[in-house]
Amino acid sequence: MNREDLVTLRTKDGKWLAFSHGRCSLILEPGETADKWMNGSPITRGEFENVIAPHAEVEIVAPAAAFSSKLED
Amino acid sequence: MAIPSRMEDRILVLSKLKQTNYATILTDVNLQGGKRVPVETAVFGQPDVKRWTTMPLSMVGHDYATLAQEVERDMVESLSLVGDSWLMAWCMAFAMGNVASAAGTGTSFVHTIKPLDPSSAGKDMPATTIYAEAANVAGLQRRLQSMVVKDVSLEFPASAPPKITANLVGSGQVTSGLLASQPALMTLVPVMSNDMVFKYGTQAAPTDISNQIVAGSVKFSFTWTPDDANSRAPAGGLYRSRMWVGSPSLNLQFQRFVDDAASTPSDDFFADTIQEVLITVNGPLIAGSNFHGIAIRGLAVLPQVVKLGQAGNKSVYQYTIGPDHWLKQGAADVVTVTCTNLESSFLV
Repeated sequence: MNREDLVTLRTKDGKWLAFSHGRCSLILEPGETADKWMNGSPITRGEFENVIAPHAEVEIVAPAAAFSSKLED
Repeated sequence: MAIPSRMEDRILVLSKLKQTNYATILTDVNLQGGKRVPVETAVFGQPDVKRWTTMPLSMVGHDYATLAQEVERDMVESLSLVGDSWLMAWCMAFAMGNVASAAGTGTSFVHTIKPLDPSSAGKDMPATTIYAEAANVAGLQRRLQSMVVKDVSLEFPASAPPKITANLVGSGQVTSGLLASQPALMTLVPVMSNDMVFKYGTQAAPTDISNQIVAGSVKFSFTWTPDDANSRAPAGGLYRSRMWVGSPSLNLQFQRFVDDAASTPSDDFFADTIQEVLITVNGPLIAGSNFHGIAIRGLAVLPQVVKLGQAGNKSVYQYTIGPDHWLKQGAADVVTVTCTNLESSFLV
């Protein structure tokens, strides 16, 4: 997995969301962002596109912090 | 027996949480945050045991076994439940595996439940831990580990709450001992079958045909047909090590009165007309437009069988929409179950 593929998510409407789909689970409080699933694994762009986006109103905030740190390496 | 155990006094606790994986069971704290559930048929939590014996061996000088050794332990339970808004959501969430929950009006939460997508989200069925107490002794106070909802059916009898039947299968492993600080008995919020609104017809515009439906004839079921044949693995010992999804299987049955003035249903059936079905059963109002309840939507269905029959002295069509007659159209969902209640989330 490329680190560039990591993303940070928030709900589109700023509302509370709970989501569970197979190995990917997430709870987002209003206004909160998340770059990891509840099991601690980072959220990839592929998981955003295939696992959560078809089922929940979420959007990408920005690439996760890991992206910028990789550029600095 | 001097002190018979009364099943009315016994306890079943369900948690809304799924296990993080098949091997990691819920904690007692998780179960204490769950619900003590009333059931129509008692749950005992008694494992089944399979033993290997020497009985079939030949040339031993007699006809009997001389050795019997346990090789498998199994746990199967059937939950027979009242159609309460929390229990319907719990059963559908664990049976299907994909839940997105959002806050509704007031204290309501809306749970959109769909079959999980094994190609993107993994093949594991969601598993949970259930506490069942068959008597007031430690050996019969059991945490049933890694329980999976194998199949669920919803029947809508006339003038009564829906009847939920959920068959479960676990790893076979139990942990005995009293669950301290048990949750209080849940307050049921049943919906009523006679409040059902049954819409059926053209895609995106199904019409309300409730007054054509035979009361008590509607039945919906779902199963992932879990892959039990591959649930045991070397090093698993007596127990299952996993439970993967098999093939999704949806089924809807209902009866519709034949209209003396219209042969449309029959014509549609022979023309293979794709239809949409939307079944909504609402209970008490929570707030705004959010009611305790359930809605089941099949976006593109094609009746497999429309058979003529009889209900009382009236002619009816008996509709059966089997597993291969729920069509996948592009990226659209084949089935969506929407449950509304006061619980904030399921599985998570």
